[in-house]
Amino acid sequence: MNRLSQSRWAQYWDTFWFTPTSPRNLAAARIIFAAYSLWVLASRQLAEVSGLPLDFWSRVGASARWRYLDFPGHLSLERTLVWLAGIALVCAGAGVFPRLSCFVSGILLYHLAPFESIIWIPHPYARGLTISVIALLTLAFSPCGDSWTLLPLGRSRPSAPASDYTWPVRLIQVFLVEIYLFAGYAKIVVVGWKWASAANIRNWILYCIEEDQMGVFHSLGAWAAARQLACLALGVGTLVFELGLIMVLFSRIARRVLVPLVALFHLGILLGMNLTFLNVPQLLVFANWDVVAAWLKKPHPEVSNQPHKVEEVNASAETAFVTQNTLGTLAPMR
Amino acid sequence: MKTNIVSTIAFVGFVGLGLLAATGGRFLAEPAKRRLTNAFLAFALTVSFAAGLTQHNLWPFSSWPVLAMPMPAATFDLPTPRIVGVDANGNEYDIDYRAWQPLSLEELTSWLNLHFFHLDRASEDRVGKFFLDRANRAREQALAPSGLAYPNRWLGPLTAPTHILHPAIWSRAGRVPRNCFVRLRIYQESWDLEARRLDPAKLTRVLAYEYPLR
Repeated sequence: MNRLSQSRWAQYWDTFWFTPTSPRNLAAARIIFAAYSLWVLASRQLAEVSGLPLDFWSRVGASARWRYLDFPGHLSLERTLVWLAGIALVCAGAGVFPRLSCFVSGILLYHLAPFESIIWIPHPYARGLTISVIALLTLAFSPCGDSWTLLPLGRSRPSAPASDYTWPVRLIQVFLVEIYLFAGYAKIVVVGWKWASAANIRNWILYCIEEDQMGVFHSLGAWAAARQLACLALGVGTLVFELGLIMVLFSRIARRVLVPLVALFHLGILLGMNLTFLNVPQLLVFANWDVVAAWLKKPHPEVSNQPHKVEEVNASAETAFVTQNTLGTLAPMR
Repeated sequence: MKTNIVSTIAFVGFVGLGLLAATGGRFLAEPAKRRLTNAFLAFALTVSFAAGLTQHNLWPFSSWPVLAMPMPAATFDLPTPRIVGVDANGNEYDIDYRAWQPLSLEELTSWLNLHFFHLDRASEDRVGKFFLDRANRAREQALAPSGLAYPNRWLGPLTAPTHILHPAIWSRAGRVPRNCFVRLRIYQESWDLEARRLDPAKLTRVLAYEYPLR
């Protein structure tokens, strides 16, 4: 062992990224991101932006165009690429040439996603496909097709636990947590702690419910805006939540408590401020799909006859196993 | 320009190292393979944290500056554009956000604020004609039995919403203007948040553009 691997940090690093796990969570991540990305891709008319009058493109810089190879006047080509991306995503989800499909769809989404905003800004964050691009590529670099595929790879059973199944899921989880970490950090760097003040939060809420071109929900926002303490609690709570969410990477308890709260957090923002955050379904990569698979198999008598181990992937330092015993109950094993 | 170049390098590096870790690992012993994977992970972390900590958006490694600005008590410094259609009788009508597909309303209003008013008049009028044609086409579709389509007709209302929600004001045929639009206007609206809370009609509206010009 070299000096680095003997150090404490290297041990933490290895435990975090390379604790052997089963391939199911990786396969689930592939299916989740393929299905989600297909939904967003099908919900947009990205190719049509290439067909807009040239005046819309007149202020798009050359470096932005070449960065993504996004140019005006190639409507047919872009439509073809959208279809190709869609087919690749279907294949990725179904597990047909999964690594190649993930790679092709990741690269094509890198090219297509910026069309949504390129006429005024060259980085389409918060529009739904940001994490998809890097997650699909990460999946392409990993053995994401070793489980839950339509085309079997000559194996009747899932592969044995391995470290290669852990780091891609972990990296995608890190990318997701970074959304909140940097969103909280940006608020403090740009505005300062006063971002969380009752006055600022109240103004944000009022703007979002008074602007009638974006007003769908009004009641919750109006209720909160009328209460200074509620606004202050929302501001402080948002910063604490965004900066603290990183804990889900290291603590199973935090994961179980905070990840469902993220969905509630976004539901509150949706109803109170009319702002959606499409990435919410991606949080399913924090679920333990071994437990889900075991739970789904529980009613089948042929499964319950043979006890087997299913690894809990998201347990970080500790390797937790669950055993499905003959009574069909789940018992933790360490 | 610098951000575009750095972002491209970061993305190419991410893909290149990932491919190296994925393909090179097949021909290497376990320790060497692990080193390649570590290099990929370290690169991905470095780039993504660099984007976040420096607040330079290196998309797809984003800095995520979500709502990272103070909201003033009045919006006079950043007015909101509103496009309205005008019929032959001079009546003004709001236009459903779905009329502007493939652009979402928030991308369109941001582009209007940032670039449209800096175009020369001829360019503005080409865009104005485009808007007028789109608005009339959407109005006709909204009046048709099938209604105004969502971006994906099969998904319908299950279409993924944009970051900002918009009311589908032409979902009911009764709310769709019967007469063709002959003119299009863009207003810049601003208001005091507290004043408008008490009276929703209290806002300042300035005509910024009209097509065709009278």
